[in-house]
Amino acid sequence: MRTTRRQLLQTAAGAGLGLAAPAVARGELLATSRRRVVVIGGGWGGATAAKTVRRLDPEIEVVLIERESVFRSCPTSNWVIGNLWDMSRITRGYEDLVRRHDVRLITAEVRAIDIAAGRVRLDEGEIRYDRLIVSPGVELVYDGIEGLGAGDAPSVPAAWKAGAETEILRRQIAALPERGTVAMTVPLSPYRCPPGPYERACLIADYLKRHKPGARLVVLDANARIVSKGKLFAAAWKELYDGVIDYRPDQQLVGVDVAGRRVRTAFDEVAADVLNVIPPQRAPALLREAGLVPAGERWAPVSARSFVSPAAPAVHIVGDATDQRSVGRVPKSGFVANSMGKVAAAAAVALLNGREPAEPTMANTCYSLVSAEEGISVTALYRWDEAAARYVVPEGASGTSPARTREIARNATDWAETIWNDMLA
Amino acid sequence: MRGRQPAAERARRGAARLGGYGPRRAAATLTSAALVSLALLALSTVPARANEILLRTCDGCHSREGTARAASLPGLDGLAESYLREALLAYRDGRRDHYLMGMLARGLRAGEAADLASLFAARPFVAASDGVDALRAARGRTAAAACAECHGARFEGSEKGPRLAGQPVGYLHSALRAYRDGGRKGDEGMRDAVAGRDDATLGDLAHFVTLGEAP
Repeated sequence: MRTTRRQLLQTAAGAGLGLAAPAVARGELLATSRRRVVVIGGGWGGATAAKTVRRLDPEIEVVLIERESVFRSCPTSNWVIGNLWDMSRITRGYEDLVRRHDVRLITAEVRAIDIAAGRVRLDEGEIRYDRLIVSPGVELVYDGIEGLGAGDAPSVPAAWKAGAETEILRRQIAALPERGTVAMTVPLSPYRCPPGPYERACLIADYLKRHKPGARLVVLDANARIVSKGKLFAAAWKELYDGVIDYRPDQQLVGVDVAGRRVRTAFDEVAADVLNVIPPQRAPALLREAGLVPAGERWAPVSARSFVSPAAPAVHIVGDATDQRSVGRVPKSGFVANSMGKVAAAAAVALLNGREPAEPTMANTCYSLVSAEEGISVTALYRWDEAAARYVVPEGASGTSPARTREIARNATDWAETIWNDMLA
Repeated sequence: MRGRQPAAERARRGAARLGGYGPRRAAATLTSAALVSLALLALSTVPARANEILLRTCDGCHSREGTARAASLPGLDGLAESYLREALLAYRDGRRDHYLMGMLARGLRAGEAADLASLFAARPFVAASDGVDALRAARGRTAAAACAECHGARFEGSEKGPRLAGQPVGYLHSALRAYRDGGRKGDEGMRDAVAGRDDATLGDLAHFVTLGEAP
């Protein structure tokens, strides 16, 4: 930790000098004499980090920069697609973070991170940070898919970030003709929310079963098998959706004929009325351009005890954008992002106060609905292993629920509201 | 273990200072949400330590922040320390059977169940009595008289049994069923109290005891 402290002092000294320089006075949007943590991204990791820093040390100013004016939850967005919840129910405001926790909220797109100067650049100017916590989520990668680009979303939604595409996909499925076909493609792991595609398959199938007799869902999975909660999903498909879900593993997506409504894999070509292509993902361009993702890599490595970037000692990176090889075998889930946000916030507060960060612990509790009535779960506790410099799961401290139950479905919906409050209220 | 006590002690002193107004006046002048923040401010004055991160990790499911109160997930803030510690150990050892709590409890190290219990106990309790059906509560009143012996005259908790008042109805109902069906073992008193009762009766009981009224 000695290195980190020295580097921190250098960063602080640099920022102090910077305040006196005329170039800075011109660019700084929010002048302050207080120590400041800037958080980029108001999702599961970022909102949690912003609130936790304020909770742990009210002397530290927190600036949260988020491009959207409201929070829309990715976990539970499948429930909207399956017509169980309205979009409004998974949408929350940032007003409590501002009012109750005195977080300074800026609704803007971050253009660049200037690591050498310790500044975040927006269109209107710059914001200095003493420590930066970046929780940028993922970028969808359309490069390798023939015939499909991000601009085709109104016709072929990914619906992998909660928002307009979630609604588009829901409406497309609701408008499906009799005996129609929905096709969904699943990218190779790792991607955001490992059980997400399979929960979505369940809830689309549940909707088709109830409202579209004779309709079916073809799942073209690039993976060799179901990536998460495999036995539980397979059992649900067999017992609840026999004849509705047609699951085909080892189907790497090659191209999409948007106008002709067809998807092509290395082995198959499937015509469908509704196409839901979930493309591969990577850490967003903002991180790559800042040098926080090594050349040729998809994800950002971190020193996971504090989630500090090895490329920038004053920058923490949390959430789905982090490289699992540097963290340990933790999934890219909302709960894990919430956990990472707390660990990074505590580390940032400790470092700003000249203390060594406390030993971290993380957890994951990830619920999936397999129908309108029943749910399943996977959970794990992640303890820090200093020798391995990774998080590890102690013996017996992880696993799925033994079965699908109604109680788990009730817990799932209550969990969503509880953790949104934990992040945002 | 010993070295970790001051955190909880200081937090308790912080909570006690709040209580110095007298609970009624404090409740009148401060919202429960503000009480939570003040108590956490008290916690925040101690150096960040490992167990505080662990505690906050649990908040992902057990947080009592905000206005929406989860109907099926129990609040842990402000419950009795001994009860919380025993519950965690029971999950770890399999005396309480749960689809995920056993796994999380098995990830705890020696002494951490006690540390977590003391940190949760130091936070103020936040009631979550939403969703109570008045008719069902009325039906549960008579049977609830027996519960008061251990759980307190208004189910506020005693040395013999944890607080029930203000716990969510859905959680209380599933806990009662678990005692009846063998999912919670080793507590003869609770086993005998729920033996032979049907789901509806246990539900009525849950609707009443959460209200915090004398039976």
